[in-house]
Amino acid sequence: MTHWLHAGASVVGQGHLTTGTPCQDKCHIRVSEDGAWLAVAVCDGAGSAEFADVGATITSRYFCQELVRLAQESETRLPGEWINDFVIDRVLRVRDQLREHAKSDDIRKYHCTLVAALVGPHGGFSVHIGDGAIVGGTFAPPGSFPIVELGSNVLISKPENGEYANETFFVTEGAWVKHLRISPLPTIDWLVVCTDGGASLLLDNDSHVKPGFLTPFLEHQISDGFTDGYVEGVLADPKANKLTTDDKTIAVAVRSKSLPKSGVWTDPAERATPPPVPPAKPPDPVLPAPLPPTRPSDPKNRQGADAEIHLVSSSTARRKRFLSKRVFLRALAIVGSLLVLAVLLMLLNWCCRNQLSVWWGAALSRVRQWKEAMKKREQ
Amino acid sequence: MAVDYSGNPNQRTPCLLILDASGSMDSIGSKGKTRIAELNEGISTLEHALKHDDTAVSRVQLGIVSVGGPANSAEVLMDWTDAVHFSAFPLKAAGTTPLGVGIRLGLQMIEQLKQNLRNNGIPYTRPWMMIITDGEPTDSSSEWEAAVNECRGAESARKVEVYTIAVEGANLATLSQLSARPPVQLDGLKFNELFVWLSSSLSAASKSRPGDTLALPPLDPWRNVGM
Repeated sequence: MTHWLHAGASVVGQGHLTTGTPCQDKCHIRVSEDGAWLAVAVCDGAGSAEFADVGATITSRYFCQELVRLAQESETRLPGEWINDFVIDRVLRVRDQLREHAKSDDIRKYHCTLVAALVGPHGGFSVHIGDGAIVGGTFAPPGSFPIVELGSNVLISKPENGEYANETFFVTEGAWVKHLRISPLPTIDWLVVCTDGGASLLLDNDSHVKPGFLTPFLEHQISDGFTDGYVEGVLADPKANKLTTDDKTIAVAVRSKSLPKSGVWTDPAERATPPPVPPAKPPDPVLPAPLPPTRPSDPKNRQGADAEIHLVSSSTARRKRFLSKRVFLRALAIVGSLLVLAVLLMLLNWCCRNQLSVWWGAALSRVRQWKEAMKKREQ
Repeated sequence: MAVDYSGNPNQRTPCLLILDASGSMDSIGSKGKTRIAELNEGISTLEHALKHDDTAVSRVQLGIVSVGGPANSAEVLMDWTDAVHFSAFPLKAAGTTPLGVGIRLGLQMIEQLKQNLRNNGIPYTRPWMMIITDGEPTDSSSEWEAAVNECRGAESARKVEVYTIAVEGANLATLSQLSARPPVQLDGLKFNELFVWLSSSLSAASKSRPGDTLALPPLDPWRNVGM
């Protein structure tokens, strides 16, 4: 059973529709076989690169697949530098794949960014080259509104553009290693990964998450389900196109067991009129104080013991005082053992053709004879 | 509750205009108007074109430095202004052409603006500096040399995009010292066409995304191809 609910979509930008360029954003999401780990990789191809969409497809698909492989390995290894080495090795391998596709050492025509993350039961890490962003955090306590706590630490991995907004860094450029960023993830309940087009909707001037976008975006999917279609609709909205003419990608994932039961987060429209207060529960009747515990064989106190039992049966609190669960279980175990022993002896006696009875009879007669002998001596 | 798409401070595409307002700009052109009058009309055209471009109106930022003019010096005529708030105003022609001083003043304005934008967390594309002159700079040789070095240095450090426009009478050889990009001769006094091109180019620059090749509109409507 998967621990993760997820959705993601890429939508072509108005700028590319005008020029007839295909969508150069690509998105891949995978969950490990045991459902505990989620891997996501999104890539944004450079507008001027002829095969940027191919570069973005190959890179995002490969990285997503390899991050799941790393998750399997991390089940038996503690986190450490080997993770950095793994990531660097996979960037080198994907660059080789692009060279193979290009049939050339020059892969500038495949320029694309990389925004990826692997998250599991106790955290994970992000891999980032270029712009785009990774945002994640925990849910507020049940009953709170809004559902996400948008502190300054929710922006896990920022875009890197260099000095100018229309410049960034790519997996496919020679100096990629200077711009590779691997960041640890804390234990998070929700994660959003996006290209710079998606970040135009999600972030305010690249350093703050817009609560007006993120909170309804998560809430809608938590209540109505995680579907790629919903994300696509949000990205393709005409209002989104006013914010950017670029291709847009957003991938979202939520840890399913962190979700509260339905109805806990209230609709803000309903907060104006507080919900009706249920009638107060009548207080429990006051019961007389229990009698002190007594020895059950004492005839004088037998009635008292009966009275104790009566009180116990009328109140769970009394049962706990006079007959604790632990004592009850121990007594049950002893009685059970004795019964089993008796049954075994009867079986043994029957198997030995009542030889045990004969021995017991002989022992009794010996005792009788000894008693008679003692009586005669006394006389 | 639907997602909220509003509240995004746009990135900026700054453009500084260094405009020659020396006495020679009072010369009358073929249409019977002075050069400075045609220039002023062109600036109005720029205002109109920017305000009618959905992206440029919220992203382009303009600054104007005049060289010469009644003050006979280089001065900031208009500090950085968003296109949406820009109102064109006429320049007056007079005096000499301290172009070197004007260029250094412009470069200083650009660096100050970048710092301001960074402080406010507003991303920006590489600023443009467009120099329009019809004559020879009247700076001292040391002042001119310092301006050339500073301008070339800023360009090669990728701090600014430099465009030099030569109005009839300008010394192309002198202007070519300022930038690796050769100066472009204006066809007659086609300032309107030049500023329509400038508006479209700034709009394209303000929309450009990482990895895009900036495709500028053709220069033909205003360039003198006979240069």
